[in-house]
Order: sequence, then C-alpha cells, then structure tokens
Amino acid sequence: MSTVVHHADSPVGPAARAGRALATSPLTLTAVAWLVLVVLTSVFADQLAPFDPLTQNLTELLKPPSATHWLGTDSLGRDVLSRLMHGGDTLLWGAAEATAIAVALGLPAGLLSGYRGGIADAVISWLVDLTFAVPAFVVLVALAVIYPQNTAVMMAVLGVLGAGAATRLVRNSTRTVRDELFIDAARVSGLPLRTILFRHVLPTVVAPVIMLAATSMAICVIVLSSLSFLGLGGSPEAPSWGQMIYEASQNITVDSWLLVPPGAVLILTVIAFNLIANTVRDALPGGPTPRPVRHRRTVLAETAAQRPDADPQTLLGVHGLVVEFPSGPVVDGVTFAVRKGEILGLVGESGSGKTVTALAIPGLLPIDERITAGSVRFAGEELAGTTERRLSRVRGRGVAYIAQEPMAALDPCYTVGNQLRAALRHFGATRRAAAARTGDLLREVGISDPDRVMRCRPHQISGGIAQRVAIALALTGDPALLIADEPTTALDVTVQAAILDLFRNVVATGERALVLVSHDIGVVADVCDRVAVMYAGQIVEQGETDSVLGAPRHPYTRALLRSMPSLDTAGRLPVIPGSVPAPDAWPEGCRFAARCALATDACKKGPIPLMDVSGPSPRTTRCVRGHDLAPEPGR
Amino acid sequence: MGSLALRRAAGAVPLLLVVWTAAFFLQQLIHGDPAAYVLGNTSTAAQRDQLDAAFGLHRSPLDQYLSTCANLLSGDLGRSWITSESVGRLLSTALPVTLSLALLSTLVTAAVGTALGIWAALRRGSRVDRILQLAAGAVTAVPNYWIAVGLVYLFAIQYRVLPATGYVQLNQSPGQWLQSLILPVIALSLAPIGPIFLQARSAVAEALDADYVRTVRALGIPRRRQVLKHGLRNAAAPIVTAVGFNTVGLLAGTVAVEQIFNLPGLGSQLLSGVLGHDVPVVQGVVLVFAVGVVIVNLAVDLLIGVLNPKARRA
Repeated sequence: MSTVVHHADSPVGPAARAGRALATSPLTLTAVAWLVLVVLTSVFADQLAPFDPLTQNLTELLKPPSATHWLGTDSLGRDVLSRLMHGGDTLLWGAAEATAIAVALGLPAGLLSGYRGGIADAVISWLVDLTFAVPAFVVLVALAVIYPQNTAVMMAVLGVLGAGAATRLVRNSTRTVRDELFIDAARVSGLPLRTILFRHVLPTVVAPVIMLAATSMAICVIVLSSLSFLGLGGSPEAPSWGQMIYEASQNITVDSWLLVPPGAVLILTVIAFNLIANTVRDALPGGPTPRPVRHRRTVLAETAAQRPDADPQTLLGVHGLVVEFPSGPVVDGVTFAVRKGEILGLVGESGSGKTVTALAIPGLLPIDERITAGSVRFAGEELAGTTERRLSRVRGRGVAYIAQEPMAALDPCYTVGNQLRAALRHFGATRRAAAARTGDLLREVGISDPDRVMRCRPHQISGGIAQRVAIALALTGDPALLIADEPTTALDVTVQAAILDLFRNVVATGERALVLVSHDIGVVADVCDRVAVMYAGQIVEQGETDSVLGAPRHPYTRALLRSMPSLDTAGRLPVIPGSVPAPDAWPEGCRFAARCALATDACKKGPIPLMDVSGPSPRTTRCVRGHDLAPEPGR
Repeated sequence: MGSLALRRAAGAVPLLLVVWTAAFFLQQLIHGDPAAYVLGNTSTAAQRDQLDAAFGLHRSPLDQYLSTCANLLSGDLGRSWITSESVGRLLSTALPVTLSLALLSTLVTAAVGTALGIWAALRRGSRVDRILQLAAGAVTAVPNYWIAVGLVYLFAIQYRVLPATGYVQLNQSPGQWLQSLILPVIALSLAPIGPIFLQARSAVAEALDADYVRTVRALGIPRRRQVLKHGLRNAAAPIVTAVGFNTVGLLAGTVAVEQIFNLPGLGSQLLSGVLGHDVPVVQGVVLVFAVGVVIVNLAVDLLIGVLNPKARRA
C-alpha cells in the first residue's frame, strides 16, 4: 500500500506555522536580528573589536564612554566594548553545545518513551526524574570541586541534565500524535517502526523541539554566566559577560556604569531566545487564540425610550435586538415579548442565534460579543447597554439564567449545598435560613434525598440531578423571569418529562415567566404557550404554539416539524437539506431560500420583513409566500 | 491524602540514594591522591598520611562508600576534610539562612505573581495587560546575580537604606532578620514572578470564562466574589504547580545571591567547600538540596491533592 494516509492538518503544519510566525512578528524579527548581531560580533571579535580585550592601560582607568572607548574602560583600563565582543564567544558556544547534547539525547529517548510506552517509558521517565533531582546549577557548582574551570565537563553535564526536559517534552508530544488516525493507518499498512517515527511522528515534534532549544539556550546562558560570575566557569583570563559583571560588582562603589553594558547584553540575549521560544509555542496547535477584541459600550437609550411598555402584564420586551461578534452580527433584529405566567419557546437549529439571544437578555454575553442595537426592557427597566452594576441587581432576582450544560455550570470545587447556601445568603437570607431553604429548594425541584445531594460536588451527581440543582440555584433569588437554555438536551426521556413538569409548576403561580430555548420542537410543543422560531439570527415565525405548530406559515417551521420523529411517521424522516448559513454568508434576501422547496425569485430580491398573518391570535411570519401557505396540518 | 504523601516519600528514597551515590563518587574523580589535592603541592607526606588516616581515604572506594552509607543512616554526613567539623552541624547552622531566603521568596513570588495575574486576567487585551505580559518576559531574563549587585548599589550604596551584607538570626531580632533579607529576596523573586504571573493570568482567565462563573454572575453575585471564590479557587492548581517549579529554581539561585549578600547559608557553604576542595561539605550540600527539591515537589503534590475537587471524597 503506497497511499499512506497523511494527517488532515498535515504533520508539517506546526513547523511551517512556527516558521511563518517567526518571520511575520516584528518583535521576533528584532530578536533574531539581535542574536545574529551578537553571534557575528562574537565570532569576528578579533577583527571587529577596536582594542585588545586584555591590554591594560593604567592611564585610562574607569573612564566613562567616549569617542575612543564607546562603552568606557574598566578598573584596569581595558576597553569595555572589546571585552564584551570577546566575552560572548565561550558563553554562547557553551550554551549551544549543552543544548545540542540535550536535544541529541532527548529526541530519541522521548520518541522511544512516548511511542513504545511500557518498560522503556517507565525506565526513561525515572531517569528523567533523576535529572530534576538536584537543580542543574547546584550540580555544576558541586562539580567544580573536582573540575575547576573545566568548561567541557560543565557543558556535557548541563547537556545531560537538560536532556531530561527535552525527553519529557518529546515524549508528551509523541504521546499525543501516537494515537491519531494517520499513525494508526501507517501502522496498519505495515510500515516499519523507523519509517513511522521518522516520516510521521518526528515532523510533529519538530516545532516543540525548536521551542525547547530556544528556551534551553536562554537557561544555559544564564546558568553559564552565573558560573563565570562566581569564578567557576572557564579561564579567569578570557573575558566573559558573567565575569565582567563580577568585576563591576567589585568596583561598584567607584563606578556603577560597568554593571550596565554586560548586564544589558546578557539580558537582551536571554530575552531574544525567550521571544523566539514564545513565538514558536504560540504557533503550536493549542496555542493562544487571538486576544479578544474589547468593545466600547454602546448607549442604546434612545431606542429604548421610544418603546413604552404597552401592556402591564408584559414582563420582558425585546425589540430590534442586534448582537455582534467581532466578525459581524449574529442576532439580527429580534423582537418578542414575554408576559407573566407564560412560557415562550425560542426554537431553531444550532447556529440560529437563540442562545446568543438568551444570553444577551441578562447581559451575560462573552467579552467579545455585544448588543449593538435594540432594546431589552425588563419590568420597565432597560437592560441593553446598561452598566454591569445595574445588571447585577436585576440578575438573580429579576432574571435568572439556566445554562446549557448543568454539569459545567456548577463550580466543581464546591459542594451543591455550599453553592446554594452562598446564593441564598447573597439574596439576604441568614445563615440558618439559607441552610433550611437549601433542602426545601432541592425538594421543590424534585430531588428526593437533598441531604446527600447537598454534600456532593458536581462531578458526583448525575446529569439529571445536576440540571435540577442548576434550576434550584436559579430559583434562589425568586426571579420573575427564568431563561432556560436547552434544559433537557442531555437528559433521557423520563427525566426530560419531569423537568418540563417542574417548569410548568414554576410559572403556574402566574407571577413568573419562562423563556425556553430549545432545538427540540417536541419539547416546545409540550410546554410552551407561545413559540418564536429562529433562523440565521432572525425570528422567522412567531405565534401561539398550537397555531404555529398546527399550521406553520413559514417553510422552515414546516421543515422542522417534518423532521421531528413521531409515532405515526413511517419510514425515513425527511431531513432539511443543507445547513444554517454562517453569519458572514447571510444572503440579502430570505435566509432560508437556499434550502427552501418553495423559494421563488421574489424570495431573493431583498430583505424579507415580518408579515402580520394574524388569525384569532397574533401571528407573524417572515415569508413572502406566508399567505399562500395553506393552513394544512404540519404533520 | 496521607497515603499519597507516603507513596511520594517512598518514591523519593531511591532518587535520593542515587544522588548520594553520585555525590560520593565525585571524590573518586580526583586524579591521584585526594590528600594531595586537598592539602596542595606544598604539603608534606606526613600531613597527607595524617589526612588519609583520619578520613580513611586509603581504603577501597567500595569500602568507603559502604561506611558513608552506614553513617548516613545514623544521620552522620561525615566530617569536613579541612576543619574536621561535622558536616551535619555545619549545614544545620547554614540551613535556616537558606530556608528563610527560599520561603520568603516563594511567598513573595506566589503573592505578587498571583495578584498581578488576577489583575491582568480581569483586563485581558487592555494596554496594561500587554505591558505586564512583556514585563513578565523581560524580568524572567534578568539574572539574579546581576539584579542583586544592582540592588546593593541602589539601596545600600546610593541610598543607604538597607544593609548590603550580613545576616541576623530570626530569634535575635526579627526586624533586622527581615531587613537583612529584603534585598536578597527581591533579587531571587524578580525572575520567577514572570512565569508565575503568566500562569496565574491564563488560569484565572480560563476560570473566569467558564460556565460556572457565568452561573454566579447570572445570580448577580458581585465581581469580587466571582473572581476570588470561583475564579481563583479553580485556577489554584496550575498556579501552585508554577510556584513549586519556580521554587526549585529559587533554591539554585540562593548560591549566587548568598555569595553577593554574604549570607552564611547552604550556598555559601557549597562555594567555600568547592574552593577549598572540601568534598564532604559539597556532598552534604548536594544531598540537602536534593531533599529540598523532594520536599517542594511533595508539598506541591499534596496541595494539588487538596485543591483538586475530584481527589476529595465529599
């Protein structure tokens, strides 16, 4: 088999990406340029240095920088610049040697350990632990008791100790690629181990190794210069940066300037190596994503002021809501209202903007998403564009939000009881009252053994219990409006039914209201009084549940209903062809037209407004053929 | 929890044994007669014989090794070749100095790094955040010995507000003890604050973006509580790991810093041992450093065990 499968995002990807990143960042380019300069001046120090680094001139002691001595002279009248140029040679060469040894040992050991696992891995890992047993610097100082000034021995030992870190890194990178499909495919196709390692595993560890080498250079430069500073690294006659700092420290009372040139060169060199390492690391898969864009807060008060609350029974009025990501709008002019005692269903496929709408109401959008237009009026107060301080007064007591994944929505570090009690205390309960209420709340949401659940951390309870706990948590502030995002998605059918019953009870008093976000039209049909169908950031149909689902006036609602399983559906379920267009691909006309069997040229002409198709109850649809769609049963 | 500690401690024993063995065989690397190496070329044969006899250097390496191991088991680290003093006693007077230095520095790096990390995490993408990140990269590159000399110049020579050298024991005068350690602790702490800051920043930022923080935010719980109770608590494990890793680095840094500030700690003992060819002292210090690393790692493991909710039974 010659067609060995290559990885989808190609094993050379990371290395190539790292190379590109190195070439495009101005800071990193400066770092590379600095290192080139330092290396060249060190190599050609004999030709470039204006003076001999060792020649003493007792008439020119401790002179400040001048035209002859650009960086001044030291306590023996030697030219500082010339000494700097000569002082990098041994240091950089030593660091490079140690790094080369570390990589040469660590690469094969890490590949073996990571790819083979088993005994090889155990033995190598133990040896790696050994290299971390005593700090390398201490080992080198201790070695000097036998080998004073012996740089060759020090390089070798530093390299061997550094191989530990290299091995660990290569091992872990190898581990992660080992189990990937393209490696499996290569293994199954009978390629020899050597070919797999060299052709497929090695390329993926190249970029991490470059990063490691740069980091290692930075560490070695510091370690080796420290040794010179202590008088243990290499011949005391040859100038080195560490030794120059030592000499500066001896003359610090007379002349502090001498500390600056070697310190600056040393620090800049280490920074340069670290910058290169960081650039490579950031280009690796799993590196940081571009930093979030911070928006200015937009003031939307004018739009809000134009919308008086028509009906005192209206709890929440969302009007013309637009939410933008850095890339553009994702919710585009959404308008709906929720009355007390009502359950409104917000339904649509993923990507329709229903979760973003739900999060926008209590102002819980992530940092890079914001409301750019429209109004969110809750109990007479404008929430869009208001301050975090005012929002936090509304949250919990006024509007409560129940997140999509209950398990992730509970803090793993605290017990259920702790989280409920803390919330109750926040809403003003005394310690005792909070403790008592916690049990009651858990019972209210249908947990039969609240005392046990209270003592559990989130990972110790089931998904159904976690969902109930999340609801109980949302109820701690006795909110007027609950927003539940896909509350039944992860649950099995019986638990799902119980949770929906719970929601019915929550609004049964007539004082509360619920917005239920779901992709499951069956759930919506089950509990919602009214339904708003969302598609590509817009509401496409809205009205009372029975009338909308009984006789949809938008082809998308129809298609959703047809794709829902039911007892009398025989054979295959029809699926809606295609998928929801991404926000940057929204067409100018009807956004559903591309997937719609009924689409005509008129659909693609321009933006489709919401049309009033009210019958006995208010009803809107965003379809030019809304009137044509005969009120036929949806299934 | 206790069993984890025991397992880790047991795992460290072979590691320490290897370190001790390597440190012992250091002296076998001496070319020729160790006594001549210690006493120098001007020494007389009688002096050398005396040293040989006193320390059993004429015996076979294995013989010597076994007897040092036996001594080690009874807590005896041997005697200095130069002063004949007990290495154990020498190091036990030096230990409090290094311990004070390392503990204070660890506290400073952990506190400053974490506080700045939280601060930056709350302002992600802002100008201060970017400046702090660049600064973190820059301080990491500053060698502790260079900053130490700079601090001596600034605060002891130029402004004369803090002592340049010397050490005062804690039980003699806590105030002076602290004064004598301020500059060395700053010198040791500066570089490690960088990586700890970066780790704290990303861990806290990740926690603040998590659903559970949004949950408490959705309850109207104040930002301070969101950050300190939920954000910091969930970010604690990676921060502790970073602090532990950097504490090991700090231990190594004490060697140069003690030298500059003339602090009579383990690092100074190590250096005088190295310069005086006093192998038993060097061996002793290496072993103590290895034990120190084991303790730091053990402390990190135990702390993470406590911090990780999944490791605890409710």
